Amino acid sequence: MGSIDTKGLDSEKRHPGFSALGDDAHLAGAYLASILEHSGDIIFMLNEEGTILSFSKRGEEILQYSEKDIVGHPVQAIVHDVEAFENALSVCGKKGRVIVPELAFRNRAGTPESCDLCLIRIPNGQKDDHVFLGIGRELHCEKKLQDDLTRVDRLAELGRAASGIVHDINNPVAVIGEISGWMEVLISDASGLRPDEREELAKAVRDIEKQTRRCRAITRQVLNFARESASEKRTFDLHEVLQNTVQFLRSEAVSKNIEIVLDFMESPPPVQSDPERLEQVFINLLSNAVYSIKEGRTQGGEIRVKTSKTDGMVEILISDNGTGIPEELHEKIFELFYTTKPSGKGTGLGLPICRNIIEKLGGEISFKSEPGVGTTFFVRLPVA
Amino acid sequence: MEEKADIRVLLIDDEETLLEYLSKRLLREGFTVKATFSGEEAVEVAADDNFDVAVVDLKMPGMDGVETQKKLKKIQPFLQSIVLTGHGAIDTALESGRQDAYKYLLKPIEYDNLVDTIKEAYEKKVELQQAKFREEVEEIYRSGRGARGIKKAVNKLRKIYGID
Repeated sequence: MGSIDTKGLDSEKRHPGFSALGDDAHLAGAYLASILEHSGDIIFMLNEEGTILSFSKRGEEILQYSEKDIVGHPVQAIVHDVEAFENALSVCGKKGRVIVPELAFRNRAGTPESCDLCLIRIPNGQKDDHVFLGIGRELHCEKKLQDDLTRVDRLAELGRAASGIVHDINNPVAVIGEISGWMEVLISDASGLRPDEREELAKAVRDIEKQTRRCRAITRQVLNFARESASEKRTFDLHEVLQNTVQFLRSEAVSKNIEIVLDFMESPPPVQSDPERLEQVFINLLSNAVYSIKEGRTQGGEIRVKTSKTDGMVEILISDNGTGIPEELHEKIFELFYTTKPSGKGTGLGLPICRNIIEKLGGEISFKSEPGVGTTFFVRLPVA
Repeated sequence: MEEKADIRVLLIDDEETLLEYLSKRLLREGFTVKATFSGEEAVEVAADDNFDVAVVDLKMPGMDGVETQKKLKKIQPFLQSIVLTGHGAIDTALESGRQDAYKYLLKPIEYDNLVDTIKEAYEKKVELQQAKFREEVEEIYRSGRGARGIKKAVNKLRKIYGID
């Protein structure tokens, strides 16, 4: 790297930390080398023509090139939004500095990597030209977080709107229920009806009642979803919660010839979360698993519940060897009101609720699935 | 509890159609029923007629359910109120009126459950009333009145408490 020529920079523009280096070119070089080695940003230097002169370690990692592969190549080789980049470069040439809130680089595999980018023109006094310094920070995490937050907001908004509507629907549903109750009385008291007529009327009214009960079940679930009761976090034994949940569903599983296998890690770390809400999630995931096996095959069904520790989080795997989820539905299963179950069986709320709960608890939920082989859901929760 | 006992029920809900049909069913069940469509109306009615059990909707325009049952209790201290509450509102309902209401029921109501609850509430009312009656009778005996004085006072009490 050699010595650093800062003559071209106005002294008042220099960062005060830099003056501490004095004229110690060796220290300045080491300082710079450390930055390039350890910074979390893509830091690179271009000559006036846009040829890459230097490239930071993090840049190598993100874009999957090594410095020696890429030095000497035009910067366009690692940029996805070429036009935007060239624009920024020309503005920077005139103004000395430019910030681009979002610009995509391109990694070796050709995948865009979104960054926020700062370009700085550094005059090179010795040669009477200039170089460009570029600092790019990955947007990936922030963008994902932003997307997640937007989605959670939207869901909450939808929930609030829905709960208003649902409350309004509940009233007429209750009235219909009451009227059908009265009709049942009228029919049983009525004289002059043939027995078959009486039976048919009675059945029709019972069906009305059944349907109003179904409405209630739906509205109740929507309200549950919308209710923003703050989760109550406390430390508890995750395995106990899982065991209880499995116990709850075991008889149904046994009746369908499904074996539930528990594969728990030894000495689980304490989890700080909301056990009631988690139970809701596990019941949902387990009953989905039971359902998928019931649909898929008649014997040899197995559901595996596994716990382990990864990356400072506790991971709970719930896998089944059921029908699996077709590739084209992978995008949809967390959508509100999306369901593949026959009408009356599913509300399309189960998995969105699970996702909402887990994300509110600071965890993650994901899945892998192959049609005909089975599905695995992964729930990751922060350790206490 | 013998079902034939005449249980006087006061219904309060702004959903008129609901009350129309609910009243019909409860009447046929053998209850004496009065339907009112607001808290204000209920309080007015309760000033003239005695009831055993009130079934009050929590959410009503004007005087809400909690307020209504508190007022009713002041007029008729032994009256037991069953408060109907929507999903989600139950927490606030419990906070504001736990001591006063006999029970909170979640809406939409299950009819059979409501009928059972009305009967239970009635028993509670009778129990409280009789306990109070006995207390006052004892008071009269302790007062040292003569036999005729006691008989007269007790008869008066019987009338007040509706106990034969």
